[in-house]
Amino acid sequence: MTRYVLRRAFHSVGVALTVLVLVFFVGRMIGDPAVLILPVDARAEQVEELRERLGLNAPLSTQFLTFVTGAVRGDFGVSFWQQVPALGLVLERLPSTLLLAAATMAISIPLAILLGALAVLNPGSWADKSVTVASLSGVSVVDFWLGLMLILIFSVQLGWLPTSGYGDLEHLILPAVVLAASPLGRIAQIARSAVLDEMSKAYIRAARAKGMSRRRAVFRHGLKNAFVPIITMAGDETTSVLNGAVVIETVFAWPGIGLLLIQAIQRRDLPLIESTVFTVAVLVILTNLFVDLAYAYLNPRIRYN
Amino acid sequence: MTHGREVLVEVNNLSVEFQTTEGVLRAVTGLSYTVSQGETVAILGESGSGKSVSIEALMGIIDPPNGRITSGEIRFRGTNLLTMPTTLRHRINGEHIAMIFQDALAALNPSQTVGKQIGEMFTLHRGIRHREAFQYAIELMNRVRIPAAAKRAHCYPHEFSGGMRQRIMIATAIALEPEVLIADEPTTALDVTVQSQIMDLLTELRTERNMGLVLISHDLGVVADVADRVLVMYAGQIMECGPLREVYRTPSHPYTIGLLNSIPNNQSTQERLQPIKGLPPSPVAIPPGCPFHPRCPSAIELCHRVLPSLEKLPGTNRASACHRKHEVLDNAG
Repeated sequence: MTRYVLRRAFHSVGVALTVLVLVFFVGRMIGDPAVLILPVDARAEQVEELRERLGLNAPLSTQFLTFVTGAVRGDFGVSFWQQVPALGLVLERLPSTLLLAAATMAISIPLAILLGALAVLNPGSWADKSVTVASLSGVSVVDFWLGLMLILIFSVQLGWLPTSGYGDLEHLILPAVVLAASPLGRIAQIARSAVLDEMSKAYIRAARAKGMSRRRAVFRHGLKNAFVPIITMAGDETTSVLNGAVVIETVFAWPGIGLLLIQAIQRRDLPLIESTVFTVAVLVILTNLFVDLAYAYLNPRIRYN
Repeated sequence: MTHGREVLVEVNNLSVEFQTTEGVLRAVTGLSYTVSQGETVAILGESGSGKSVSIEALMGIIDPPNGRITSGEIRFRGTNLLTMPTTLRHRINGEHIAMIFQDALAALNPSQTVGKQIGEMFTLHRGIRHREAFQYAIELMNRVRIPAAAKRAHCYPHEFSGGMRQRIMIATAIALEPEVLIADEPTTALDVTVQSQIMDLLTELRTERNMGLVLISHDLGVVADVADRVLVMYAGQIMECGPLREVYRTPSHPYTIGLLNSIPNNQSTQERLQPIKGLPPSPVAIPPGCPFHPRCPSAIELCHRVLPSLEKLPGTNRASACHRKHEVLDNAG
């Protein structure tokens, strides 16, 4: 078990370092920041001067060395745009992103599993079909449209919830519900098929032969084994919420990392791009590490291999 | 052999059907048998003969709408299990009738320790707390001779050998001292040496607890030493039944003869095995008349048209579903 955890953790560090290298070189490919920061009619020597000041004239190898030695100590340099340490800007936004992601997954995962299990108890029934339709709708709905509709109903018409902003629990509800729609649909579909799969296994028949009802056999024995594919999908969905909440952050004026990244890219703010991408990458890596550890807990056969 | 022993299970005229995309699958038709205290009944047949389905019906684990018991009754100590409320029906399993499965690895939950799975019998039926149930589980593991039981109870199914896993299944099944134990091909997945150990353990427990034992097998050799009575099934119907010695010595149905001829026999190594020609019929298209007639060497014109009923052989405890049972019997004798 310890060996498994260590191996996974070691693997994660390797991935993080790879991301660090990639983010540096991709950052240098998206265009000259100096040209973009200065006005369009800036003279060539002004551009040259700014490039010098931002350290962009040094050889690529020197830049890379400076970047890596700084990055491993948590120093990604000063944001071109805001003139403060770039990582600090990202970490400032981190709590709001994490809060939104956590709320989204806290809504979607339990509800999805419940719906999936409910559907399976009577396959082909009215309840089963409703779950299928609901989860398909969740996956297919366009998120910003759903966001706008909910704002229209709950904020404008009913006046129950604020239209946008960040601060209280009531600000969190609408964006989290909107973001939860797609993961809810996907995880419910996976949960349904995973539990259905387990139900046809011999150990469920054996559990019933021990003297329990089908329902009890499914909940006591089937669900834990069905959790492996469910956790995989939930992990994927979590990472996509961490990455791609930009549209919903914009709709609800939610000060998250996604919005910051877009702004950084628009301004060719290399230190800010690098620190944002790296932070998101670390979150994704941590999510995957957690999923790997969950596998080991759920499936004892993994622990010893 | 049934002198004054109480009849535990009585199956009368049981028929089971499954709805499939290819049509109605008649898995079991008109099956009747009894199991008494301390008695071992073997149900023999090739795969697809309906022997496992008949047991699933007995355990109440055939699920509508696809699977349906279309007729008959299953009585346990006189009470018809098929008309019982389902909540009460569940309680019979494990408590009075227990079952062990063919593939113990598949029949055990891969993500639960074996101690917990055995102990579940006590938490489920007796409301005993987990810790105490675990102690009972260790005692049971000792009873079925699993070495270092106290330590091994914390292990998961994949950490045991095939024979040990089957012992775990047996420990679970006998936990609440059921009156009837059903073993569905309990040794098929095991080595020959382990097979005989498991069979010995089963017979030992049957004698010790005076259980009725139902042994399902396709292997006539495995049951030869243990069973008191045999039912030979083909295409969901009983072809022949009776005391094992008599049926083996003088079979009264051509199908039984065919099965006996296809067992390897140590005494006559020079003779070639004679497998039954052809394949069992598809359960969605059982031939008219006697279901065995297309493969039967003794079939006459009557066999193609009329389904023979299971009739008692005069002066015996045996019955045969063959139009020519007397001729077959005379030839065998």
